[in-house]
Amino acid sequence: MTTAMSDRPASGWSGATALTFLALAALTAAELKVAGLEGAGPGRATTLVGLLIVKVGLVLMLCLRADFRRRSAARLMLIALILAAGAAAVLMLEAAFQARVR
Amino acid sequence: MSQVTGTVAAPAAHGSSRVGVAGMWTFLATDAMGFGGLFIAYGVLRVRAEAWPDPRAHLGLALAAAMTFGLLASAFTMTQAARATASRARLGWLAATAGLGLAFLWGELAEYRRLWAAADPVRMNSGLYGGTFYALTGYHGLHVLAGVVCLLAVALRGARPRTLEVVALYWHFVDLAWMPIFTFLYLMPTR
Repeated sequence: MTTAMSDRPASGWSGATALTFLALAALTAAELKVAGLEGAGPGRATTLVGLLIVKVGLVLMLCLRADFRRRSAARLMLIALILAAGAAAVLMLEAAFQARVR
Repeated sequence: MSQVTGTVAAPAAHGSSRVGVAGMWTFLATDAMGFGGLFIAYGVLRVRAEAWPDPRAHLGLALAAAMTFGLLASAFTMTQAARATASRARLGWLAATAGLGLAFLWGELAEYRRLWAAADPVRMNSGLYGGTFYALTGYHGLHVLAGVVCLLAVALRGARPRTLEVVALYWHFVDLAWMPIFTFLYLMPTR
């Protein structure tokens, strides 16, 4: 545990964890709602990806709070996230290019 | 003499915990590449396919949603287990996490059985759709199974906080990996 974590009362952390879990459950319910919408078009896929990113961010926050002890680990995660975002951008551009060629 | 041993042993134990966490992060980084490769293959095959079946026509969305909520709940119980100070509470939260993991696996097997027995069955060899679906969900399912085995092993050995911290990292990663699977395989609409 980091100094900040050990200073904080355990009940506070349980409350924060429960709140995070409730937020994740609400986001999953929102995903199901969006997926069930008829005629929403391409906006539906974008909304689903947006909700997914928020969910992943929340879980990472949960992990970060519980398990990050060293700044180097946080940096490593940041690099991985930037690389992942870069790869996603390249794939999206490639998909857009392929769609235009067709 | 015993005092000397005590002062030497404490930093060594702390150091081994840090090594365990660092080792797990290294493993997760390599494992994330495995998942990343599968996701990229799925994305490329789906984008380039002439036609892709509507997920809602084949897959059980209600069951997958229940599995997702179960896995999210297991992330909560795992965090509580890692933070519990009393060993009895730790074991209780660990048992809840392992139970939710087993329920997830049961749900996955039920989904496979339903897909195999359907009028228009989806199998590993029924084209790109079936192949990518089973590869991604099966790969993730094996991770959940390994996680459950780890949880049980840790519980049997007394659930020490330092070991739990490492296992919690792994379990959060398994939870994280399921999120894009649920979104892209179950929810993402076809063009």
